[in-house]
Amino acid sequence: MKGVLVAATLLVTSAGLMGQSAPVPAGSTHAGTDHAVPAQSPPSYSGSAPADVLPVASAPAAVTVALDRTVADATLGGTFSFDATVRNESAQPVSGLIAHLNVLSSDPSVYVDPEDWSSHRSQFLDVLPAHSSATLRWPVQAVTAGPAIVYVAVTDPAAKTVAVSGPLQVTVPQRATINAGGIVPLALGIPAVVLALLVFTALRRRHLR
Amino acid sequence: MAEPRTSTESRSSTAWLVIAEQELRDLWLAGRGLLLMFAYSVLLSVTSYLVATNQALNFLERRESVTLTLQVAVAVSGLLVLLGSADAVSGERERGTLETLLLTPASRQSLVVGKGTAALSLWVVSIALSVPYLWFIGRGVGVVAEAVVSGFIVSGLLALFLSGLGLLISTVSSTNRVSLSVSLFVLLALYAPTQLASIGVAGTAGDVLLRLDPFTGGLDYLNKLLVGGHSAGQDIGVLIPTLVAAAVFPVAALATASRLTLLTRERS
Repeated sequence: MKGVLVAATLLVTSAGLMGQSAPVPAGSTHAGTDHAVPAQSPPSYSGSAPADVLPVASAPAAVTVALDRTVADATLGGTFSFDATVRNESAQPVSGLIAHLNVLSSDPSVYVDPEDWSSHRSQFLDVLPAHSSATLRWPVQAVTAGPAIVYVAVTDPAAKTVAVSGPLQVTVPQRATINAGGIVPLALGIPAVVLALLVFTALRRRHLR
Repeated sequence: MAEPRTSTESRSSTAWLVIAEQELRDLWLAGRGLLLMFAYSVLLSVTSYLVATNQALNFLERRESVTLTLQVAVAVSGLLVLLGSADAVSGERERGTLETLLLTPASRQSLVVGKGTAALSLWVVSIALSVPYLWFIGRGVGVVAEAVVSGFIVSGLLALFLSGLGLLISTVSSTNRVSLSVSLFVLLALYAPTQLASIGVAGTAGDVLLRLDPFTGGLDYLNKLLVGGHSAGQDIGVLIPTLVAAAVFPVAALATASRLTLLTRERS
């Protein structure tokens, strides 16, 4: 029996590790995380037809980004989507643009991990023709209660500047949380009941002998 | 001539029930089952307490906590079933009581089924004990029913697989020590790929290994369902190795039971 319990302890340690998930590279569309956020649709373009003439501009100085709303309400664990419109204000097409989603909390006591909010935070744009725009859709899951600010930044690999959208203010109401104190009666009560049964059967066995 | 045959068939069909009843009595009234359940409940209490006292968990991490607790419950209940079944035949053999059992009118298959039933009772009780913990941790994130039902199904399949495996090993093992050692080694070998899955295994061989392992399949299914928010049927494919193992190993244990003997060592 002692061997059995030792083996159980060893395996318990092993089992306890099983819930760990793999580290995920931050902010990449190739992260491959498995959250309940649906896959994104490709960006839709509007304006003049994509240019087939080179060179294209690389600096995003004339690029702007705007969100389709400034306020959003979400339930804890619920998903919502918003659109970000990236516009090329210049007279030349631009290429290599990267739009990146960020989430932060305005409450200093709340830690927000943007990777939990969206598993596909970076979107890569094709060539954006002059005076045209592309609309990017971002499904987001509100995983942290409290006030949060969501925004989108656009840049390219050779950029010296970053274009940033206005903020999307998200309010996520708190749901029932685990009560640390409440677990104590349960954590002590169930083993106590099993122990009482164990003692009872042992006494009964002794009595029958 | 018909009557004796009917009587034999009837006796044979109920023999496993008689054996199961006796085994259940030994397991739960002699204290060993309750002792294992006490250790199991302490483990779940510690896990749940650590999870519950971490107030910084967000919504996804709360779901992951439910999954962690469930995976611990599933894994340890599987371990208990394996220990119970690995001791079933080799334990009797070592204690010198197998000969008495073999002399009873019960068939060898009835013997194995009865002992397997007793081993599976450890799974039933352990999963039932995990429900209050799952309720407490998962009540805020609406995942309790899903966790209980999916945990019951996955752990049930794994319990069937492990009871078959344990009985199979126990039947062919000459001593209880051999049976328990081999069973635990196999169990650890089956758990190992679940760790590989968490760090990511590249390559075809690694992928095949993960797809064939019943444990990885079962635990991965729970993870996808509870953390990933997938539907119940979306990842049913990953459960195929678990389903196959749950069907094949009990049948193999029954097939091997017909050759159940005292083994040479004991006869000499």
